[in-house]
Formats: sequence, C-alpha cells, structure tokens
Amino acid sequence: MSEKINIPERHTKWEADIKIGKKDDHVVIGYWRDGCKGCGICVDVCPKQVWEIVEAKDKWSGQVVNIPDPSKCIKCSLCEIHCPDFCIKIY
Amino acid sequence: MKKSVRFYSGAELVAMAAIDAGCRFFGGYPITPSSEIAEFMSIMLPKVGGKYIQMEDEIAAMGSVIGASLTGEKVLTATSGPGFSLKQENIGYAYMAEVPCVVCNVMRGGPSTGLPTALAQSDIMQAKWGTHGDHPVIALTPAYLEEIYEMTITAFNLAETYRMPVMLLLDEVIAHLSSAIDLPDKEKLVIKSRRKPTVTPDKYYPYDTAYGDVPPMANFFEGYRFHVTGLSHDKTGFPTTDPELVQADQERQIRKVSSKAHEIFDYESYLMKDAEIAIFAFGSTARAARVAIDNARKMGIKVGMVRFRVLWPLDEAEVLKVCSRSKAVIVPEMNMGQLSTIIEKFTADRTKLVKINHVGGVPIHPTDIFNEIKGVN
Amino acid sequence: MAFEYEKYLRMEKMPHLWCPGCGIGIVLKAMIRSLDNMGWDKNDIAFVSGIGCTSRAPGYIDCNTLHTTHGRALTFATGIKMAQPAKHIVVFSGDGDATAIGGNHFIHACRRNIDITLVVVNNNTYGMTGGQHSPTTPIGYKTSTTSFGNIDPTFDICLLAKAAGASYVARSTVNKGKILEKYITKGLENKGFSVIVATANCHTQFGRKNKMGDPISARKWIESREIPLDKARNMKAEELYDKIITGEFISEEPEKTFWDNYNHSTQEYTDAYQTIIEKAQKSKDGESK
Repeated sequence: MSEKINIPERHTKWEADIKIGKKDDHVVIGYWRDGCKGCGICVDVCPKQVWEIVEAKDKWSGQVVNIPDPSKCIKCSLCEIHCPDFCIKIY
Repeated sequence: MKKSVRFYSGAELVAMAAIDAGCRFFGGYPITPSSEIAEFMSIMLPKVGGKYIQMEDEIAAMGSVIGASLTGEKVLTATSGPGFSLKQENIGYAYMAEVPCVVCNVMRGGPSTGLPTALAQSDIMQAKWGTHGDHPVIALTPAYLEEIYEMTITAFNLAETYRMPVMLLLDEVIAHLSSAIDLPDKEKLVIKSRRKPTVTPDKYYPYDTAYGDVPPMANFFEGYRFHVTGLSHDKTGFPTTDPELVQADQERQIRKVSSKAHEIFDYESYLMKDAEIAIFAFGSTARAARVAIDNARKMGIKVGMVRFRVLWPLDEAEVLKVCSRSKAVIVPEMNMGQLSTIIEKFTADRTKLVKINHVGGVPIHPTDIFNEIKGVN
Repeated sequence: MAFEYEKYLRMEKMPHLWCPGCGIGIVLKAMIRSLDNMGWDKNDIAFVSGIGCTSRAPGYIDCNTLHTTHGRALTFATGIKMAQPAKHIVVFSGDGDATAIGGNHFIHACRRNIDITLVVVNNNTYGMTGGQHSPTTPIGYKTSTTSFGNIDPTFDICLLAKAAGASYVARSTVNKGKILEKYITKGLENKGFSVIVATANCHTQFGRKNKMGDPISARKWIESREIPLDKARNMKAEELYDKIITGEFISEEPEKTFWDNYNHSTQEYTDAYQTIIEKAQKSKDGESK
C-alpha cells in the first residue's frame, strides 16, 4: 500500500488493502478493534455485506466485526459515517 | 481632588462598586427587594461596554454568570431569598468547578415567598449550607452604605483571589436606604483579578495543585481548551471517581478558605475594651445595637459589640475569646436564631446567652436590645 | 479520503462511554464533520452540555468544553455568547435535558434568537438514569416508570422551537448521518438560534422494554417512522401519529406568514445588544430619550 495515505496510529490496528474498480482505485478499510463495541451497525448499513459479526471473548459485548471479503467494498462510506465508536475509516 | 457627595441607595452602590471592581457581566432575574441592582446594572453596564441580560429564571441567571465568568469576565448576579434558593444548584456548580462570581442576596423574610418587601436576615445559613455537599464559603455582611461600596469591591477581590462564589448579604433595609456618602477615591481602590496560567496550553491543568490551593484559571477561547464539569474531577478537569483524588480535591477546596480564614474574617469591635456584656450582630441589626450600646454606656453599663463584616468564614478563635471574657452575650438577629446557634457553641455554660429574634419584617428597635442589656446587667 | 475525527477528539478519552450501537456517537460524528465544514479554529469554539448520556459528549471534544448542570446548558452558553459574541457556541443536549428540566431555557433561548447551535439528541427516554419516560416518549410505549404504557403526550421539539422563535430548525435521524451533517452545518452557518433534532436509538433502556433491545431493531423502528416534511404536509394528523417528521422546519422564503413566527425579530440577540451599548454610550444620564 502506498505511503501517501496517512492513517493515524489509532486506526491501524487492523486494515484491509484492496483494489476496486479501475486498476489504480485503492480502498483501505481502517478498523480500530480496541474501540469497537461490536454493535453491528456497519453490518446493517453496508449494502455489499462487507462486514460480518464475529465472536470476541476479550470484549464486554462478546463480539466485534470482521471483513471476510474486502473486495466487495464500493467505498460508499456508510459504515464510516454510521459507526458510533469512531472505529471505521474508508481511505 | 474634590470628592463628590450625593445621595446613593444601597442597590446603586452595589452596582457602582461592581463596575468599579471591573464587573462587566450581570445576569439576573427580577425579585423584590433586589431588583434595583439589576435595574442599575442594565443602565450602567452597556455604558462601559459590559453586558446585562435578564434571564428567564433565577437558575438561568446563575448559569449565565458562570458561563460569562469562564470567558474571563468578572460577574455579578443579585437576588433575594426565594431566588437564592433556586440559584443554589448552579452556585454549587460554581463551587465545584471553582468559577469566580459574586452573588448579592438582598435578604427578605422566609421561608417560601415569605415577606417580599420586608427585611430579614434569614439567609445566613442558606449562604453557608444552601447547596448540597461541602464547600468553602465566604459571605460578607455590610451594615452601612459606605461599607456596601467597599465590601462589594472586596467581594469581587475575594471571588477572584479564591476562585469561588462570594456571597454579599444585604438586608432589605440597607439595600433600600439612601444617604449622602463620600465615595472613596477610585484611583486608590485595590482591585484584584484571578491568577492566569503562566504555562503553555499543553502543560496546563485547570485544577493543578502545584500552584497552591487556588489553581491558576485560564479563560475560554485563549488556546487552553480545557474541560469544566460539575462532576468530581481530577487536576485535568475530567471526571474521576478515584476516592483518593476526590477526597483530596474536596479537602483542598475547603482548605483554600479555612487556611486563610483569619485573613478573610473581618469585624468591627465597638467599645469592647472594657465590655462585660458583648453583642454579636451584623447588618442593619448592628445599627440598632450601636444605639442601644450608646444609651447603655450613658447609664454606665459596660457593653460593647462585635459586628461581623465577614460572617463566613467565622474566625472561631476570636468569637471564643470574646465569649470567654464576657459575662453575657446578646445576639440580636432578624431570624429565628441562625447566628446564635453558632455563638452558643462558644458560650457553653460560662456565659449567659440572650437571643433576640425578630422575624416579623420590622427592624429590631434599639429599645429591644437596650432592655436586654439592662436585663442581663 | 477518510475524515480525520482525531483532529477534534481528545483521543486519550476514547473509546467513549456510550453503549454499543448508541446513536449519540453518530450524531457526535456529524457534529464534528460540521465543525470541520465551518473551518473554525478549535480555540474559538465552546462546546456546552447539560446532564445525561448525550451531555457526556464535550469530554471527548478538543474545544473549550463545559459540562454543566441538568438542563442548564443553554444558560451557561448564553452567558458565554453574551460575553464573547464573536465566538462559536455549540450546545449538545438530550431530549430530557432540553425539553423537560431545561424546557424553560430552551424556549427562551429560541425566543432571544441568540447565535447558539443546539443539537438535541432525542432518544425518547432518560437513558443515563435507567430509562424513565421523557417528554418525547411516544404514547403507549413502556419505560421503567411507565410499565403499563406511557400516557403522557409528547412534545414535537421542532414545532416547539419554531413557535418559540428559533431561526433554524431541522430534524433528521441517526440513520441519516450525512443529512444530519448537512443540517448541523446549516445550523452553525445560521446567525441566530438553531435547533437540530437528531432522533436516536436507546435500545439499552428504551428499546429493551419495547421489543427492540438491540441497536439494529431500534434503528429500524426509527426508520419505519420517518416521514419527510414535504410528504407530512399533505397528511392528516392521525396518519402522523407516532411518526418522525424529518426535514427543515423553517422556510427560507423571505415572506413569512402568520404561521411563521409573525412576532419574532430576525435580529440576532448579541447584535441587538450591541445597539443597546451604542445607545447607552450616546446618552448622558443613562436613560434613552
């Protein structure tokens, strides 16, 4: 992934780097697992089923989210806008 | 320089002194008998570029002065008993968040709506214990018009010095009294302002005890971007429930006044040198007591008066000293014994305590006090 | 390019205390993006709140922040604005905070049209104290103090604000983060009192008692009740029962009718006070002639 994108440290705990659309069109999904409370809103708002809920024993709510197939992402940013915990960034 | 002499009312003097002390914001709500202070402020403040706002209720008035004070203004609000009760919520906030402000309470009869147009000294305990929880308290009780001017300035100085609300307790009769008085020379006034931080914003903590019990206070919009809350907080200003930090913060807040109580406490000693009978009084009651003492002295009765100019914090050592060398102590007050319950602690069984409690809305007459002096002599 | 919320957040305080899926976070994000749209210096913004879940927001925002007493945020904000009219004041409040205990302050801030932007996060309940019914709990719904169904009629916060004299009033929901951002930005741009109501979910307290104890079903419940203002204009009152009317409630047309705050001045309060200062400084004896 290019160094040009400045991802703050807090949001680089986990990320998916994929190519979408035209060949230079990158998407980086920044996800901050420490802040995630596993509410599942991203799963609900995503029109392309990019997100899924997975079990997480270390979390109070017992769950977090995961990205099984990042290539589905169309960069609509609905998850970023509606994540109440500031945990998702679509670059 | 020729001093100006003209008639001033007590309310006008509060307003004038506030402006001379640097007050540039007044948030109020009309209430008898303190409305005149708001009226004077509404005229005087815009003339000096200050802001006057009449809020929708007493609570809002108190909120607005705290908000303005956080931006660095010196602020005043004025009220009376029922409004003082309503204000207590945000007065408590000002104690907790350590925001300087002056609350002038022109006391009237209570409880509830009570006697709106009549005088009383019914709020001295509310000034001390009005809000929930523990906090330091400073309350000033002027008795003369000259003193209203002087002590309003003192009230602002104390609020700014100790970073807390200061109560200015007038009784109705003093606020409405008009008389020709000599105003002090404005250039000679001692005006104090809150201590500002000297560190850069990244090193600033709004409740940093490294600078003593009264931490320096930054203003909003000056780059410090700090947090203010009514929750128990640590030095950073953010909420904490750490028992040790909460305990330490409460202790510091109490200590910032209690350790300086002897400096803040102020009283006038009238003919106390050889007095066998002592009168403890404040406000308008002290004026009646003075006449009674003069009359009693003419009859050779050795009576004197301790007139509290600052009621809270009370310098207990001073009161004890007076109580222990007097054969009798008389406490005239326009309430059912709010001050005398405090004095009672120091008279014990040694000294006779005589209470004069008038709550009917008419002043205590000098004769009432004179008769008690004769009675105990 | 992803939005850098970190610029406006006190990251050392994150993650925030709100429940998983709580709508307040979404509103706060819309608020932050709106502040960024305005391009204001953080030092010139005061972020004020009262008490409640919503009111914990200022702790996370890197501005001049003030967390006040219950319902009184607008009074503190009014004092700040009066003292510093050039600064930007934002108030973040809940439905109970703004319309119950702070109802008086709310209508009077509207009436003064003082340049403050109020964001009311309406989650239909008192979340922090355990889910008691609030002035916006719909009739029939259960809360911890209305176990047999709520009988208290509700406030329409937008209509209340409009009638009281606010100069910008809009409502959207947490399902529409971008529209919230648009409305809040317009509120911040408006020179006068702006009210933006963000209908939010409290599945933890309110939803739990009404068969929507998870964020998704609570959000769906809100979505199912949304009616755009233009559509609502042509609907009967009984059809609008328990609906959330979304949109901008103050028309931008210059010609106002009787129903559009006929007796409200369009002048902003601190501007109006400036004219008082000028008058006072011109007059000699204090009284204006």
